[in-house]
Amino acid sequence: MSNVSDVIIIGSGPGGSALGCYLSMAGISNTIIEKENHPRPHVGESMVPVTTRVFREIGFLETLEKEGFPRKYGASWHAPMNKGLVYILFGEFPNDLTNQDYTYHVDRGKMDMLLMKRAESLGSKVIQGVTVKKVIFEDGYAKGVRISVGDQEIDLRSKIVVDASGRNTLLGRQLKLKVKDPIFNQYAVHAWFENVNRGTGHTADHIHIYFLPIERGWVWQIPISQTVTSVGVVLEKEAFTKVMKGDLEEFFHEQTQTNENLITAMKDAVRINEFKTEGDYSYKMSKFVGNGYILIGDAGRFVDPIFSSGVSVAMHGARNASIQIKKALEANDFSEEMLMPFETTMRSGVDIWYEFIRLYYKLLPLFTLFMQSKSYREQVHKLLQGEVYDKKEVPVLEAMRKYIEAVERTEGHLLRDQLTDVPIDKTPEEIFREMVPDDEMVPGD
Amino acid sequence: MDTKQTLEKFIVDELLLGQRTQIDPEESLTSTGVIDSLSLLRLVAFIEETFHVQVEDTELNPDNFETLNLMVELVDGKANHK
Repeated sequence: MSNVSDVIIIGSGPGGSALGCYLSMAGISNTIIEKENHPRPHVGESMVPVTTRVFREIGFLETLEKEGFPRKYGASWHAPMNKGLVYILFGEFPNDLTNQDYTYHVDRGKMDMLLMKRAESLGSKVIQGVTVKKVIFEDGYAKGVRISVGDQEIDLRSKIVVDASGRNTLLGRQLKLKVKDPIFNQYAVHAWFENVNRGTGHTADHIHIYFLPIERGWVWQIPISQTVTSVGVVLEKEAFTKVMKGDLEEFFHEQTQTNENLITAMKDAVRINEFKTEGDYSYKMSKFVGNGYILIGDAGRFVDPIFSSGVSVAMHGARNASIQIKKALEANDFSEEMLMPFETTMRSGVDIWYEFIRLYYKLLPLFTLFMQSKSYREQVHKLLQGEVYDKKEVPVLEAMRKYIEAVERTEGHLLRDQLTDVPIDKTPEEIFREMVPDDEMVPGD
Repeated sequence: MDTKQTLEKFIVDELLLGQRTQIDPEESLTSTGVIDSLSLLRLVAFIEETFHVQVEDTELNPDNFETLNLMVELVDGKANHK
């Protein structure tokens, strides 16, 4: 049976569609199989600036502008007590990869649909409303996928299969690669609202993060359009179970009453769609590549979304995967070894996000200090903009770690009672190595 | 403005957002929560930038930050040793 195309991509979220774009632009035939019909709602509505590089390369920046997605010029953080906010403006330290001092907030239903169309217009074959049952393996190599259409099952073949199935983690579950994050197990409840008071002046179009007076609890506020705002509460699952008594509505209301500035923002807010929940938050696959396959974006790993990193990781995953796929096709070699450079790059990039997230939660106030420190401000800015790829060392993370260690060993240090129990003595690799793959986990969607 | 006035102004205007107009130099600030940990770190950043001194990681304790007078002592001590 002949191949349907050189590459089959499972899923047309930002990762899958961007990969389709890159491959089509390189003249590599590819088929994207999407189980839903676009547009479909999706969480993850705020971008980081480096993603602009990918948008530009795949010719999508014009679309984002033309469609009027809200521009995101910065990010603001609010402490629980009303003592002012801390913010960054991307324009203060323009990143090296793009010439744009803003990124975007997006209605993912709309953006993901437009991205899929972009891939299609560049030459990707797109099949919507079709579920991939499993990836087919022959002689130890992924050779295609089995789809179900009506009551029939059909096999589609390709040289490489890319799992971009998002939190559904199709291939990770099939091969039992999934390892639950031992530290972060958060839970989110979110919806769209009208009449959210976003404030005035230059921070009104920011993403706003409100800290809640509960460990690792926070709320996002993201502009979706001129009138619609996405608001989500994130809590440790344990804390969630404890405080969740009534229904979601009640829970949401109670939690959004614990931060002074958030109370002001939500005073006249009216919810316009159903609450959605996201559980079993963070995980990763024990590998991102194997013989004949690659996992990108959330299909490979999911980290806490506090820094809006998700879409950036997925789209850079697409970018890097396309480079490696091109090499593999040229060499007619689809072995794990051949594809490994993809894993190495992505792992080190996401590990930087992960370390940043871990140190951040370990001693929350420290983030504020480093953001205001003359020597580290620029580095923190650039991390927040998503410059984590192709980096060997990140001195600011080293400095944050040293500071935390000083707090830990100094009697009477005023920040000592702010230290949380997030473990930072082991590397992420060591922590994950101790974990056993979790077969019980169910897909998040 | 001297050190005390500069610090008091920052605490009142920026950290307490004008909820208070002045601070007693001997008033407990950190143990009573008048200044919380986030505010404290903003204060440290302000001190480092304004007075061109370095506050060490290990100096963030009540001996240096509990009252306005103690903060002044810390800052002036550092400035004099430059």
